[in-house]
Amino acid sequence: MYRVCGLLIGFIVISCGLPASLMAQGNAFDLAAALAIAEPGATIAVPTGLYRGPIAIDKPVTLVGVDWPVIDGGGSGDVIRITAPDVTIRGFVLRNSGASLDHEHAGVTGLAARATIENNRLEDVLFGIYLKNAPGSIVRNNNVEAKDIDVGRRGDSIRLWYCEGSLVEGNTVRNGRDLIIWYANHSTIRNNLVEDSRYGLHFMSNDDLVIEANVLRRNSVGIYIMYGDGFVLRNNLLYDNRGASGYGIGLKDIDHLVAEGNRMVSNRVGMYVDVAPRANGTTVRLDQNLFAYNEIGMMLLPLVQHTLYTGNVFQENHEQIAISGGGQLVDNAWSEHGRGNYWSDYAGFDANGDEIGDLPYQAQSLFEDLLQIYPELRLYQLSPATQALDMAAKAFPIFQPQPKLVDEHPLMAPPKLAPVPGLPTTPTGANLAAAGLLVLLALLVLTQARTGHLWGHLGSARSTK
Amino acid sequence: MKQLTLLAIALFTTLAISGTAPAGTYAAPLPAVERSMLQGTLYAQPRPAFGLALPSTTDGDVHLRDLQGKVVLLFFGYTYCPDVCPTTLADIKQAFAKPGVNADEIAVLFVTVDPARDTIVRLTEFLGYFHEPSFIGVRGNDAQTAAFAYQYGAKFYREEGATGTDGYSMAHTTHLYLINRQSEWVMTVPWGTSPEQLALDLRYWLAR
Repeated sequence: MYRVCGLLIGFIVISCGLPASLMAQGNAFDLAAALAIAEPGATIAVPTGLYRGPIAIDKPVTLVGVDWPVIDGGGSGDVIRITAPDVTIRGFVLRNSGASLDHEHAGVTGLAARATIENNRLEDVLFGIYLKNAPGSIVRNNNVEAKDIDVGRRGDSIRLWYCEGSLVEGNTVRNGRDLIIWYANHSTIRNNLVEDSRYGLHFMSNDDLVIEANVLRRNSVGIYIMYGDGFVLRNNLLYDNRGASGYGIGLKDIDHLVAEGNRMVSNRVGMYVDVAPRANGTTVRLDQNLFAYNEIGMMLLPLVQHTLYTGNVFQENHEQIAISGGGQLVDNAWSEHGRGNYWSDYAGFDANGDEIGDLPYQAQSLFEDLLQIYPELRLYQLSPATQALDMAAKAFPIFQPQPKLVDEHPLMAPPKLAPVPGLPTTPTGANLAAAGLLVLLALLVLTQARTGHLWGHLGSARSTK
Repeated sequence: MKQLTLLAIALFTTLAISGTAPAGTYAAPLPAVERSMLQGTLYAQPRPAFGLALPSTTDGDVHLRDLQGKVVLLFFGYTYCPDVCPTTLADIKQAFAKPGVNADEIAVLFVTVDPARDTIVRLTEFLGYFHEPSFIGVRGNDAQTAAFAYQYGAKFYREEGATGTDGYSMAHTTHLYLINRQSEWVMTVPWGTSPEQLALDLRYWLAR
């Protein structure tokens, strides 16, 4: 009796928290049992431990993992399958789903409205989070890593299918296929990091999306938007996307798009535009975007029109603007209210000091025109031969090609753009140290040279050989 | 007339000394219970109480959602308990008898941690000793009870070789978990809290 009472007093002390480790000494936690007794709307705390999946959730509950419990799918089927609305999954490690693309095995498959999947780590899963017919859902702050298989055999890290009014934010995705959104009108996708995947963000047939502050790097394509009306594309970073397509941003058959503050840096093509806008009376507006150090800043189809470009920075792209298949751009505006864009290769001047170039900027290069017909000539890009060719074209106007575009009011300096997180930063300390070492070395060499010791040493070294 | 006056004075004096004013006529309202007067551990942020559906001594399963609007005291124990469980239930019953505590607005969920012995029949019989209709026995299987107990940080296990019936007893957490009318777990009341103090705690939450 005294022993039991002693235990009881001990419990008074320890039972104020959630003594997960002590659970192991007592009764094991059974997740299925907890789900069985939970009322709709209940919040179930799940202690740390390893749980065998798949877990089926058929009532509206909130599952909260305490100290990262692991649910292991055992390599078959979904790890968690949700068939009830208003389910929340938070704080779990979900791993080892099946690997059948036919059956679309996933870490989480959600088949009902208002699912909230947040703060989970998904590992070794074919599809990561796959929500079908789940409007009003939230996918937030998850970390998704796909199975270690060839990209063509992977599933999508996050896929929304008919999920109107959803929010996808703060997720980190690596080594997946796509983060893809189908038929999810009025949704917001923001603050996600996608890297080493196929399409960082892929949008198919959506209207009224806000896509902002995402970081897409080292993917085959950063963001690709196909079919839809009404997009705000804001402050995204597209960096080093250099796959077969290699677009930072790709647009196809969309209307009413505003792109502002996006950074397209070091991609194969900063932005690719194919029929946008597609309908009469609609527009695309590109404002204060940065196209820097891409092989091609923008690649456009010749029929791209009704697009306004203003305040954009075209910085040191190998080819600032390319027209796929050749030709000229018509019915586009390259300036607004007397302000155009900044072109790093602009060679004009500003006599009146109004920060607007006095001569128009013309994207005009014989070599670039030839590139559209003979793409293999890109091998010679940046070589003296290409410069000689363009100089010859200027010297003999009969060879001068028609300009691809004319910006009547080019900016003399790039506008200041708001900072965007995610770009690699220069290691200032290391640079300073390296510079210091170089200066020291130079001083040493100069001193030695002045006194003749260095050469003397070298000479003596030679003479002793 | 003089006799009547003397009688009235005598009656008034008697009432004043005894303090037994007719019920409902002269009863002064009880002072409100302040937060600082509570004995239990309060949570800064109320936690959603785990809503359960388990077999009970009522006609069917007990559902927490059906108890919304009542203050719920949740206790994990067992009927063969020689000390803590019966005394805790007795303390609750005494608290119910204190002024300002309306037992009709309170539910006590007694969740057995010994389902092997505590059948619904046994729970009904045990709780019947207290003649308190707001006491509800709840019984799940081992896994269900463990899962439920974990939601409140409660723990229990079987203690072999003890002197209890069938050669074992159950060690278990002794707290009372208090759930407010809005189905939020707001307070944990430690074992040993007096009926008077428990009544104060209950009055505080009954007023909210």
